[in-house]
Amino acid sequence: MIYEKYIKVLYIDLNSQKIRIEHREDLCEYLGGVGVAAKLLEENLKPELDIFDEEQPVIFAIGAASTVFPVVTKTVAMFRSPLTGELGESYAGGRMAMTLFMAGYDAVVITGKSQKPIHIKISRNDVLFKDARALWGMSNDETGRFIREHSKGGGKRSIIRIGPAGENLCKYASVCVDTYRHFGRLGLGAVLGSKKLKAISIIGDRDIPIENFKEYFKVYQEIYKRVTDTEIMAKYHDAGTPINIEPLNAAGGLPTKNLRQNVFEHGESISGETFARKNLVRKMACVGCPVGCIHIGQFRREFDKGHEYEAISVGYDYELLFSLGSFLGVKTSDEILQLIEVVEEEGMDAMSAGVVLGWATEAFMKKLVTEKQTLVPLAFGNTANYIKAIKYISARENDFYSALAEGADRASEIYGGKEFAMTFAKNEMPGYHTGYGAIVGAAVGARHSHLCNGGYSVDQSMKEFNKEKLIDTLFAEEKERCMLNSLIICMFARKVYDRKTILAALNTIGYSYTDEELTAIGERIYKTKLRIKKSLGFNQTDVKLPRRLFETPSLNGQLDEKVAYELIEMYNKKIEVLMAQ
Amino acid sequence: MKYYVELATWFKRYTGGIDRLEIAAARYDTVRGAVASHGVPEDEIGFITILNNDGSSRLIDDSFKPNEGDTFKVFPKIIGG
Repeated sequence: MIYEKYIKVLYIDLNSQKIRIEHREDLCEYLGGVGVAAKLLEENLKPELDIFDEEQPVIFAIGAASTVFPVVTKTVAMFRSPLTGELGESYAGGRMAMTLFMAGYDAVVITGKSQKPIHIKISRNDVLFKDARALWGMSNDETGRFIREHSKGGGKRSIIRIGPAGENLCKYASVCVDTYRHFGRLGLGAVLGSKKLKAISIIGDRDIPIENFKEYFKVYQEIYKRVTDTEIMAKYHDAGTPINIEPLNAAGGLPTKNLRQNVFEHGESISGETFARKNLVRKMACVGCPVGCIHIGQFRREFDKGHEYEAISVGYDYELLFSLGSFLGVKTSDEILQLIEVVEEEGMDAMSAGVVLGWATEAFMKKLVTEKQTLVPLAFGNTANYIKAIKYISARENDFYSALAEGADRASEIYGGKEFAMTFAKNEMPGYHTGYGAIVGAAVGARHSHLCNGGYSVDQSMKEFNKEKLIDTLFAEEKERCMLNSLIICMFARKVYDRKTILAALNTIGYSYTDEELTAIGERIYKTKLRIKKSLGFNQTDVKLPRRLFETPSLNGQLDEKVAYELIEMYNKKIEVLMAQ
Repeated sequence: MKYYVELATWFKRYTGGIDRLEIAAARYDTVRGAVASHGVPEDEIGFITILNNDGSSRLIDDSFKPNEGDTFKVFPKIIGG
């Protein structure tokens, strides 16, 4: 917490419905955010127990500079991922960081399991435990609306909830934060579902005066100007990340039809420009961000005969257009928005849902599964049946859909087709078939996300392929992002927040660090994550890459499986050296 | 000798709304350089493709030498999602 020499942690036990608050000076060496969350996860995790055991913790943490500076907007959640079995780490924007900050908490640790569905209301120095049986079974949207309408505290309030997929322990269930924001990846929604925790609302109402306002405002304004008056963030506001569809498709890096192709013949009809022209109705921002990168698209749905229509608004970004668009061969912007809406209502990670359905479609095409199992004929581009399939997954309708709810890796273990189950260490792939950087980056990344080390970015910037340089870059970036996520700066703004800016910003709110100390914090956090992964039995050499990655050419041409494994081994050696220090 | 460059919509902000350039080849070493001379920041240029006769396109690098009448398309760098 700014101006304090401790990290304030709220512990919530759902078994006893008791809370306690600790002021942890020892956690300050992790700065905040992912550093504090990782350390708290390490302390509270029970590796020997089942993933859904009531003793397993869920950690939320805000960063050392959360909402005090522009674009420092996110909250991190850490947990044991039910999808991968190992490190779970996910980020969400919205109002959550602001409300936790205003409620006076740096971190929240939730353990235990409620006997009945529950909604917890967090406020300054207090937590209420409310019966949520009436909410169980409701969609994300219905749950949020119900809580907004039936409890006081609008404005400085954040509402976090799960949908039916989380209740049914779909291993990639998401958690909806406020409106259009999510803890999307790695199944936090299932962990909350296992605890019968339907919703959390947080009300923050305190005021924290800035002590050295003149110096703070000077740094704030410099950052604000870089964010709003330069081109650094402009793309994120303009067409947003969907701008990626066009260049990736042109360059041959857009995963299409379960990566059977690297170019989508209907790419233009799902491009960022097409969405902007046909569907974009609004742009929104997280609290504390002047950018407005959240793009809201609208589609029209007939809800009754006689030309009765309703306008449905959903958030969209690149990863959703890839996973529910090109990856499934869905060729219009309206259809993609329809799929996003269903995923949103059920409460699933859109990336995993799309990639799982891509595998299911190919498995059906190859007759590994029958229509008796799929209930509807799955085919690339058949949106109507994909909508049904998403609902079947959420409900675990039968054995096949229950397997799909476990993720593509598990489903392929049961039915075959591992070579085209597009996962990295059980986490479904992101939308970049750009080269070795993307593949190795996701394979070795602490949470197997493209955002661990930005491997896709290295692929497009490296002039000539060089193994050592690639591995050095991924390794350095992974550590640097640990430091950035201890603050927690939105990754979109990483070019705004260079080291000099970070040090200046921290200095005005009571933190005195050197460049070397920030480097050490990044390393400390990364090592903590690696220790957690090891304690959960993760072994990098066990990770097998799907053969499809090496059959379909990438943006950087045909890739060699042996080279990819060689690169992973090189990265492993760097980890060994780091952990021995 | 002349060739043509189509710019992705994003770049129109740098060219006063123009999205098709006619380039006198002798003046520039590379397509990238030609586009940059029209106001597009070079570090924003991600990918360049050449339009084939059959309507398809393929990626080119800076060593590619343009021919009379070639049409290229220039795309921005991909951003984190």
